[in-house]
Amino acid sequence: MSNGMDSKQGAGASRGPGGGGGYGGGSRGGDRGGDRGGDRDRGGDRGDRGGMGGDDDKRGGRGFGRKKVCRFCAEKNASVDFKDQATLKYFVTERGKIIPRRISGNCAKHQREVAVAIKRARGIALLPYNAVVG
Amino acid sequence: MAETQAAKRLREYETIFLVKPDVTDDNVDKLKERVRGIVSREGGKVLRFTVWGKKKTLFPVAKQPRAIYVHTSFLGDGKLVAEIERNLRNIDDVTRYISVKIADEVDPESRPVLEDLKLAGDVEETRPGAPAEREGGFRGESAEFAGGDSEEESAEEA
Repeated sequence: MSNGMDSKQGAGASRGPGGGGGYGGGSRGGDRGGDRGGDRDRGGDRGDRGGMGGDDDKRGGRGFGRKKVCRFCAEKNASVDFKDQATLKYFVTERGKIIPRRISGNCAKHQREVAVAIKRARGIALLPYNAVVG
Repeated sequence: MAETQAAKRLREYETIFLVKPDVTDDNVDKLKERVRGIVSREGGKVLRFTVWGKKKTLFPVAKQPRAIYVHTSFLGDGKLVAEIERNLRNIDDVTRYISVKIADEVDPESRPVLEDLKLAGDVEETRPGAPAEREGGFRGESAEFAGGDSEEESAEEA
């Protein structure tokens, strides 16, 4: 790890003054009187970002973990059905609330369909409006 | 009118209704026949009746912890749906119903009439065990009206 960072730091330092990205490093270097630690941190940051750039684009630049896929898009013949109690259970909490899209990973279209289906299923008591936990 | 077209197009709907759990099979069949009669009278076509059997409801419906679910899909138009729902509303044994449009522009000839199905429903444990379930599982019908109090006390699960 440290080896990789060192090599990156070296590359960043050599590029720094000339390239557009150098303004931060250059000014900070001047302020702190050539603080090597700061430089290395920046180098490390840059390296991390470069490595995870592909994922970051989809995940808002923060955090990590596997990318969620809409289950209804992934399976071609899966459709949202308000009678399908077993499937809809995945999209409500234990208490019976609809799980948001950012958690469930549904795409917008299917989340809308799931929400309608859950509400229909509640009407015929296949899902709870409000389940008491514990 | 629509008859002037060579092939009359209908919409496909499905209706699910809940029957009180103490209704006998014969009476469920009578309900089925009544709905079937309405559909044919109004110029629709019944595709299939499926009795899901007695299932546990997630909250008490008509003060009962379970209900008999009857599902039917049929072809027809909006007036037919309104007529069916009006009738279901008037039958005391039917506690809930929902009708959903499945498809537009269906050719009635292309859809065969399927024979009725009867599913077993939930495994029937001892019948008088109901009160314990009612207490244990889920809060009652008051929860339907967006039960405010318990909503607030619920922790954020997300």
